[in-house]
Amino acid sequence: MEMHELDNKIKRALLCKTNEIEPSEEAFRLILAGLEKEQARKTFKTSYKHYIIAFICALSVIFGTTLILTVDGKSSTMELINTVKTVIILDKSNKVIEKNADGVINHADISDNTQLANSDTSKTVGVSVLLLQTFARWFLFNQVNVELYLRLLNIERMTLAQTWYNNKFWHRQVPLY
Amino acid sequence: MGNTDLIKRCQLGDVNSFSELYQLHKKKALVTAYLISNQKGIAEDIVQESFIECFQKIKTIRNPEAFEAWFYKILVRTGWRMVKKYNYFLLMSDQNMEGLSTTMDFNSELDTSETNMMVHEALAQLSLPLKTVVILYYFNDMTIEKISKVLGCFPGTVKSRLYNARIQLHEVFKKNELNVSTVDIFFGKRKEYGLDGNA
Repeated sequence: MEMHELDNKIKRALLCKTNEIEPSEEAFRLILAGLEKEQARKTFKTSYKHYIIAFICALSVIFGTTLILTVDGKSSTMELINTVKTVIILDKSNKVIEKNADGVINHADISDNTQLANSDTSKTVGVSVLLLQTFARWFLFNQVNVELYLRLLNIERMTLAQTWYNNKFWHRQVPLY
Repeated sequence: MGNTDLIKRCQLGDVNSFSELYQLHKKKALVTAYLISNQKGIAEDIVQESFIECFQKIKTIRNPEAFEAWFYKILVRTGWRMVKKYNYFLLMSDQNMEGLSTTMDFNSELDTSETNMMVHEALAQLSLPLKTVVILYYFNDMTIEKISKVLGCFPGTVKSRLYNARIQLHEVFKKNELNVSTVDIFFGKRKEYGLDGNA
């Protein structure tokens, strides 16, 4: 068989198939229905995506802000600590004493006697000092609160932050107040 | 309205133009899908999905002249996906036999029908890429260049596929021709005994 003859046979056989199938009347209606369905699915998918993206963004912002504040709080505390030259601590007999920051004690004594500490600290510093009885963890972590507390003490040359810092970051003990 | 105008209107979201475009291409698209899948139901599904995708993506066409190649690219890919999905590849030969036997006329078109059956039987034995090249070349009258665009391959690949398909078809024909004499004798005897189809 020649190739030309083969080509004709193939062509004829394929064209013969056109009579076997006819497009149905409702095919286009089904296409339009399919298009509408696709459109609805696409819209739902897009809105769903938007919600997910918005949620992720919100989560990132919250997490980022918290992280920045925490880092800022830590670094500003460190800066403040670096300015410390003397510290006020309680000795074993619960007396408030002033010590050089260089020779600061690396451990903390725990005392609930804040009234004594308040009066002694106020006397030593020369301004009225109010020490909080307890520090909640969130309070310590918060930069604003740390700064507020340090301002409340109104001490330029000394601070209790070193003790607090030691307790917080070194020993994780309750501060000496 | 020309094809280009219709496509431009479709790109603007005009459903009526899309309807006209569908009317223009539906028959050829359906037969092409039918030749690929060999199942009427599957062929209709292929055409539907292809036109849905066509309307959704028609905005991406820059050159309306290239619409046919672009559309058949969608159709062929959808066809291949569906054929693989429904695994009708192995059942093609049975379907061909069925389809042809219903249209067969024992007297006048015996030879033609027999040849057609032989062609479809041979086509069913080809792999999907070879078969698609044959369909696009012989049925859709596409050039090698156009087929290469539709299939997303080099023109050389299309030529090679076409050559291989022809060789395979030729071999099937040669095998079947050996049996033709037997078939002739069989139908000759049927006529002798008055058992022909239209009696």
